[in-house]
Amino acid sequence: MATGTILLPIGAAIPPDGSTNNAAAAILRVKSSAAAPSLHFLQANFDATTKEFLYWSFRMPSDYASGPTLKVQYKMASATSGNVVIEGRLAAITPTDATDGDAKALGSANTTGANAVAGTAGYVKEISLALTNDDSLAAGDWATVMLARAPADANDTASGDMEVIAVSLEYVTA
Amino acid sequence: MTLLTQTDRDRLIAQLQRVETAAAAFTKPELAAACAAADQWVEDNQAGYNAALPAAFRTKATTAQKAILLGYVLWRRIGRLVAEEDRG
Repeated sequence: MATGTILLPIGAAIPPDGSTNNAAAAILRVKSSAAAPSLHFLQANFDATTKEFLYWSFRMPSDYASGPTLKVQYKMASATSGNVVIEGRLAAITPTDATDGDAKALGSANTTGANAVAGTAGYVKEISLALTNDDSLAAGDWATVMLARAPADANDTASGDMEVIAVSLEYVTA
Repeated sequence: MTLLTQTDRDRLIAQLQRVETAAAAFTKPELAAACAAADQWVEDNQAGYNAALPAAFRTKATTAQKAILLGYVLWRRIGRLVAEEDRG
């Protein structure tokens, strides 16, 4: 057994359509303030008040066995104190399932506790979220991962945007 | 003018957090409490502000115009109000 990793680049994220309870995290291109040639990267800004979502959809690798875990790297736009809370959900369909892919619902939520932000805005931290509620995810499934910040959670106290810069889904291999 | 409703305050601080990107050491609950206090302070002191205005302006300006003036003065004091003349 080993650890498998599925990279979930910000540029590959699927933003929802902005309808009620389907607000999308804004995806922005950021240019470093360092001298040219300047580092450029994409980041997803999760609001401090409105719950916003991003999705990634892919085929689950054949070597998947168990233990899906989201790894989320982020920085804060302005906060230098407080905590953030994130939520992750999975939606999994096995090709032989009698399931309408166009009507598929997300599995149950997985939520972190309080994650203290860095003491300096812009400093990078990482959150690990075990997707214990995995919607019966299996190797070869059509899998969709949802990531959200939980701004209404009492433990989400950090002000301003949470800027997500890198996301991965790790798992235990067969 | 009357006190802001809770919805007004919630939306105020939500928008403030979207727009203002300076380093913020305060948390969301602390910001919410400060918003309520600032709103209450305005409520408690609007008569005194009105009395401080020169009589000519005080009698001719609407309540909204008096509030706008105070807002402009505050914005200019923190360097956020840029006039056409400032652009040379």
